[in-house]
Parts: sequence; C-alpha cells; structure tokens
Amino acid sequence: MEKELLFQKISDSVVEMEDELVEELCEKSLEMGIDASETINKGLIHGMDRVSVLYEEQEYFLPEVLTASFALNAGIDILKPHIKGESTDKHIKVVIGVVEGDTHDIGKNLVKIMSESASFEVYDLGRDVPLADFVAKAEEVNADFICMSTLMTTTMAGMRAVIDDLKAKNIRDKYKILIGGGPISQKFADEIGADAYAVDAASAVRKMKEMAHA
Amino acid sequence: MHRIEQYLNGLVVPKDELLPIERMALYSKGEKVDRMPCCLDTGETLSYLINTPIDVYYHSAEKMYMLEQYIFDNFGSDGAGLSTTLRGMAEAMGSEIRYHANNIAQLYKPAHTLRDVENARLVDIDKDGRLPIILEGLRMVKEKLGDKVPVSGTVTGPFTIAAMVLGTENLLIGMIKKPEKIKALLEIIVENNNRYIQRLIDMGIGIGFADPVSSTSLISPEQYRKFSLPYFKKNVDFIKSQGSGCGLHICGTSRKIWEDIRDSGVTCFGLDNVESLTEAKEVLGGAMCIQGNVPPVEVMRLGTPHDVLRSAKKCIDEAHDSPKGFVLTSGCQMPVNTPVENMQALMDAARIFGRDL
Repeated sequence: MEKELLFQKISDSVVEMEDELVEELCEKSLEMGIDASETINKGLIHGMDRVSVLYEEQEYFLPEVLTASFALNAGIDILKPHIKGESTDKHIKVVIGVVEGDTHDIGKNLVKIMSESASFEVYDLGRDVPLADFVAKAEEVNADFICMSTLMTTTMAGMRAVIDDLKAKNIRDKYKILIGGGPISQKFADEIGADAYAVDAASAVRKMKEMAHA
Repeated sequence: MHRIEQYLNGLVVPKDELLPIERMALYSKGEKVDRMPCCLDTGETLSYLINTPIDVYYHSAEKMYMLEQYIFDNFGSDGAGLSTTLRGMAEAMGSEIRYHANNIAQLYKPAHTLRDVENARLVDIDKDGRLPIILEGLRMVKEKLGDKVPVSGTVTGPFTIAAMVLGTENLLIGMIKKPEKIKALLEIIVENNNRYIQRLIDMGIGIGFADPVSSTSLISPEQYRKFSLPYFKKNVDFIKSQGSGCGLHICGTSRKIWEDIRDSGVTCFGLDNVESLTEAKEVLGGAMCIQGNVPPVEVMRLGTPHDVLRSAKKCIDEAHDSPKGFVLTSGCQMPVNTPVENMQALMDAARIFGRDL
C-alpha cells in the first residue's frame, strides 16, 4: 500500500471511530517503515481534525467525538514509542484542567481533544486540580495558554486565585488565560482578568489560534 | 417611577390571598387566581438557609423537611419537595458519591464499566443508598405541609442515571460501541425508577424528572430517540397508568427534541435559560404547562434583586398566556449561596407582575 493511501485509511478510520482498525493500520505503518510522527500528523490528527469539523457542523455530537478520540489515542499509543527525536518547539502549548473542588471534566476533555486535533501540545492536569499546579506546570513546560474550566459556581473563585497568583509572581503576562464551563461568562472572565472566555470547545480552539497569531 | 425601581424602595408588594395548594388547584383548571404561580427551584444547594452543611443535609430526612418548611414559611413558594438528586439512584445501584460540606455531591466512582455493566443491580428502595432517607423526608414534608402546598418528588431520567452508573463518557462511548449493553442497563434503571416512583404515587406525591444528560448539548436528537426517550416513556407510562402526571426538566439545549417531549405524555416542561420561553409557548404550550427560566447563575446567584425582577418580568411577559399555563421559576436549580433577597425578589416578581393577567 502506498503511504498516502495508508494515511487516508487511518484518517477515515478515526472518523469512523474504528479503534481496532486504527490499531491495525498503525501497526502496518510501522512495518512499512513510515515515520511515526508523519503517521500521527497526516493520518490520526488529520482524521481527528475532520471529526472536529463534523462536530462544529453538528453532524457529530459528543459521543462520536469521544469515541473517535478513543480511536485516535489507540493509534497514538502504538506510534508514540517510535517517534524519533523531540517534537519541534513551534507548537502552541496549552496547560488545561478542571479547577480544584470540581470533578466534572467532559467540557475540559472536549477542549483537549479539539486542541490536539488542531496540533496544539496539550498538558492535561485532569480534574479537581490543586490551583498551584496550573502555574507550576505552565512554568515547567513554558506554556502559551492556561485553560481552566468548572461546572460549579462554588469553584469558580479558584480561577481568580490562579490569575492573582500569576500576578503576585509577576508572570501574568507570560500566559494567556482562557476559561470556560457552565456558570462561566464573559462578564466573569472580565471581572477576574482572564484573557478570554469560550462558550464551547470549538470557540476555545479558535480563540487560542487567534491569540497565538495576534 | 417604574415598579422595578420602586422595589425595596417603598413599593408595596401585594400579599398572597390563596394558599399554594389552592392556587395551583384553581390554576390547573384554568380558573382565575390571585397571582402567577412561582416555584423556587431549591434543594441541597440552599441548605445554608437552615444553617446546615450540605453533606449533613443529604443524610438527614429531618433537615430536608426543615428546609422545605423554611421555604414555605419565608417565601410562599408554590411547590415543596425533595429530589433524589442526579446521583441518588446511581448511588443506590453502587456508584460511589463524595459529599462535601460547602458543595454539592459529586460522582466519585461509577458503579460499573462497560465490561461489567451486565451486573447492574435492581435496588432495594428501603435499603440502598440515600433512597430511604429521601423517602422519609418526603413523608415528613407531605405530612406537615401537604395540606398547604403541592408536594413533589424529583426523580432522574433513566439516561442521566445511566451516566451516573457508568460515568458520562463511558455511557456516550458505550452508545456507539456497545449499544445493546447500554439498552440492557437502561431497562434495569427503568425498573428501579418505577419501584421508587411507586412509593411517591402511594404517598400522593407529585413526580418530576430531571434529565440533564439528555440535553442536545451532549447527544444528538437521534441518540435521544434511541437511548433516552423510549426508557423515559416507560416511566411516564407507568405513572400515567395509575392516573398521575409528571413534569420534566432538561438543562442545556433541548429545542430539537421538544416535539418528542410534547408527545411523551409529560404534563409540564421546565426549560433552561439558554432556550426561549416564547418558542416553548408556541411548540409545547398547547400540550403542557411550561416553566422557566430566570438564569440561575448570572441573575439568581450573581445579580441584584432588581436584576431578578427585570428577568422575571421578561419571563412573565413572554409566557403568561401560554395555553396550558406557566410557572415562573429559575432555568435550573439555584446555586449554593444564592442570596435570600434574590429568592424573595423572584417570588415578589410573581406578586407584582403576575396579577390580573
């Protein structure tokens, strides 16, 4: 099989949410001696990017996006050990998590998935994340963005605390802060001094791209 | 001066003339009442009103009753009742829930994975999870307040329960990868719900459903029709077969499934503030009472009493003439630490703008 055809098949299998087929094709790419990072970008990420478009067009809903990302990750697990050398530094780097006290993470996961399909480098801190971890991780990986989400009003204040902490350390301007979640609004983002509020995952990715290229 | 500006500044708010139970009985028959019905969407988030930590409230029938008594005495809300909460049935089925003093409970560990979901169990209403505590609380509310205010129990839609039994992401992936397993789980949940619902019917308590995971913010209308609606209808049919009715609330977007909801047999629908009351009146108003939809966070939690009045007036203007009736309420449960003044303002909005309609 030709390389380009294989990439197309991998991309299609991600869109079709066929995790076992993705695994099979990724194994094949290694047998064919194709560079793992090329397969990731032109096959897996390419497919996930199409999924993001389908989601924005409301052809796909959350279940399809999650299942496709499951297939994507199955492929990445196979290819990752074979990546030669470190990835270049040109990626947009994102530290993301659900703030302390909250375990609702579907929205955060969706932003992560769609950020990865836009080729961002994502550092996912998970849910119920101790507030200090956001800044620590951003410093460690030299991130461009800190993304925080929460579904509950009771944990919203944690976002302000992270921003205040950045200010206290005199590093507020090193990062762009993007926030989102059920009770979050543009008004709240303005109040706490976040750089942006995103109403959904697609707009989160769009806003990060805009800010990164501004 | 405008009445909104005069509020808390000299405006006399008309007193209620009817008890909630009298008002709702007349209103449901289409007869004239003293004011527009208005319900405060309360529950565990407002346990601070009776100086009780939220985790204590969750485990005390007495506290649950006390909060309803407080709300009746202080606000005159047109409904009293207790919810199983979104996690109550799933906890009874084995999910691990974490409780907090100042925050609502959260799912910590789902009862099942897609691998072992066939082991999902039928519950014992009198033993499992917090169900017996909630039922005892409802019994107390009904006994002490039942002659003054309609009492209802909120249960959870089968699809949302499935999310709490499996974890939402596993449920959503399972619909695509293991649809038959998900359907088998939903059948068990329907039976569990019916067992609980039977107790409510036996106590003469009204029934409402909360089903946020069925929102089109999460699943497609086709998925709703395949995995949520058929099982929800089994619960609704069970209720209707005994001569009772029930309401439904879905958080988030729901417009694309309103036609399905219209035909599902529910007698009342509460919409989230992201949806339009005017549109709900047109699509659903001929078939059922509609409820809504003052924004719970922006207005009820973070706004001023005057913001509440403005928002509530807009709701009343839009929906007061809905053919099968309208109940003023918030678009979802009010958040922790919602100011008392704002709850009062919501009730007063019905007293000020909900007369002579």
